[in-house]
Amino acid sequence: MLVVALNSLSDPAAVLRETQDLSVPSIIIENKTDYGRRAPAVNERLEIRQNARTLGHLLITPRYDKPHFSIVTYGEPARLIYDAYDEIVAETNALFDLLCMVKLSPMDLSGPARHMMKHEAILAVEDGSAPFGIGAEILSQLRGRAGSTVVSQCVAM
Amino acid sequence: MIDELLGKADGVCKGIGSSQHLYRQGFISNGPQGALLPVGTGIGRMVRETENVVVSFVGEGTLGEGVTYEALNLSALLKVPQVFVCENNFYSQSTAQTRNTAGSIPDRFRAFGLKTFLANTWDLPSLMQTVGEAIAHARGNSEPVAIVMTTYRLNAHSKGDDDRDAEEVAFFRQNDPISWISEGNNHLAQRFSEIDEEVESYFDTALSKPELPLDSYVGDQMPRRTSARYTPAAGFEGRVIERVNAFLREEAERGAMIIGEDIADPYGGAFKATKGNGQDFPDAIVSTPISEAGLVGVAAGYSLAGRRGIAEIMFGDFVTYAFDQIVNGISKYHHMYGKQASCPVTIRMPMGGKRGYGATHSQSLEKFL
Repeated sequence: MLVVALNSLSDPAAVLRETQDLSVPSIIIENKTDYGRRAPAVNERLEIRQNARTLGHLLITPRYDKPHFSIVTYGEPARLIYDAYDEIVAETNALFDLLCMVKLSPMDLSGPARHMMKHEAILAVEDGSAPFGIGAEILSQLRGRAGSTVVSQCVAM
Repeated sequence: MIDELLGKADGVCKGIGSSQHLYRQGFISNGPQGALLPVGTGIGRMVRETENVVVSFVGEGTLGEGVTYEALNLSALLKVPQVFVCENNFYSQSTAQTRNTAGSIPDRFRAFGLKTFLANTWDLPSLMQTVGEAIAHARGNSEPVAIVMTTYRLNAHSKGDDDRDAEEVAFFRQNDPISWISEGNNHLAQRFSEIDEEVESYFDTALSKPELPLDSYVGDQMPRRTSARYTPAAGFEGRVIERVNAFLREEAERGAMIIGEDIADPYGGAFKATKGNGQDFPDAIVSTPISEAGLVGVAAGYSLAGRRGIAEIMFGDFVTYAFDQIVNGISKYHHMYGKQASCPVTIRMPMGGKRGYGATHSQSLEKFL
């Protein structure tokens, strides 16, 4: 069963079309608050790219500086974090990459892992409650790849 | 079939389905009681364009399952040529009907406006005539009918769960049509005996056959595109819900059935995902009563029949009602039917909080999916 989460950082119709064209049973997680949102305002300091894998994740990176850590999430939290990017940087004095998962199941973190392993810390942000959740699964798989050298934490919105 | 029962690769479902999960040439069975009734309604939604009908079998024990009534309601509302056959054998597994089933069995079908036929398996000419009339009615009127068929189960429901009175079982065995037909007809008795021998002897052959190799036992259906490349993300105009609406419009144009609660115009769904589409594609946008399990089952059946079904759960919280369809049906059909079935159904659901809907309309349940 394919589980996909829409977000408002890229075209939801494109994600729906790609999912539909796969012709497999699928569940689409949408978000009530995201429904009313338009595409995000351009932040000149950030670049939004999409991995070319099937239903690949979005990668939001600082355009001019090297990030210190990664945040991985999906769905509406990705938009909230994107919109608050500058505020978070001001509060933490640290730049970060933002990875927005599109395909939640079957979860394939080989692409994101390659990117996130560049940093020493990863924060998974869960839309639901933290225990036994998507964020926990993401961190579990990443730690399986990176061993215990990566500092990681999962929080719920 | 014997290969299937023994878990052999030559079985009708490659040995994965076993006795309860079978799929072959228009025949489909599954373990959960009542779950295939709305699936049959979805298949019937497609076959109503032909001269065919869908026949859905249940035992009277299944009348305890809520999804049964969702299916009866949806089948009647959608005018599907579906024949509901309720085999009443007086027992729900081991429990006598008097302790499990209240009221009248035929009246349960009549309550949904179904023309309900009565038959039994001891009067064979009458049984054949009644079934013929029921199918003709469903076909001719494009609407569901019911046959309540009184019968008796000669063997245990499963293993070690037969506490029925031995004299009662013996009485019905003696009066079973197979018994009295063969008693009065030497030729048939001889033929039945030959069939028994053939089946018995085949077991020895089947036992030596191979099982499906483990590496081809389970694999997901998804084609994968692997790449480390990144491209600029696709932007969009308008609001997210407008993009969802545009996608659904395209799907309706392509022949998909979009089914959900209150999704027809003028309302167009709680979040307006289908608003405006129902006017232009009234047959494609199917609005249902509150029946999450039923509507997901209908979408699944439509997809199993080779079309595309898209189900909307109004609030994702209520996908819990449809979990049986997802967990024991949709996610398994391809695998447990030996990769002979495809069910490319899409189930959309809004999750998350922040709009003041409270505890049961604001959850994020994706961890369960």
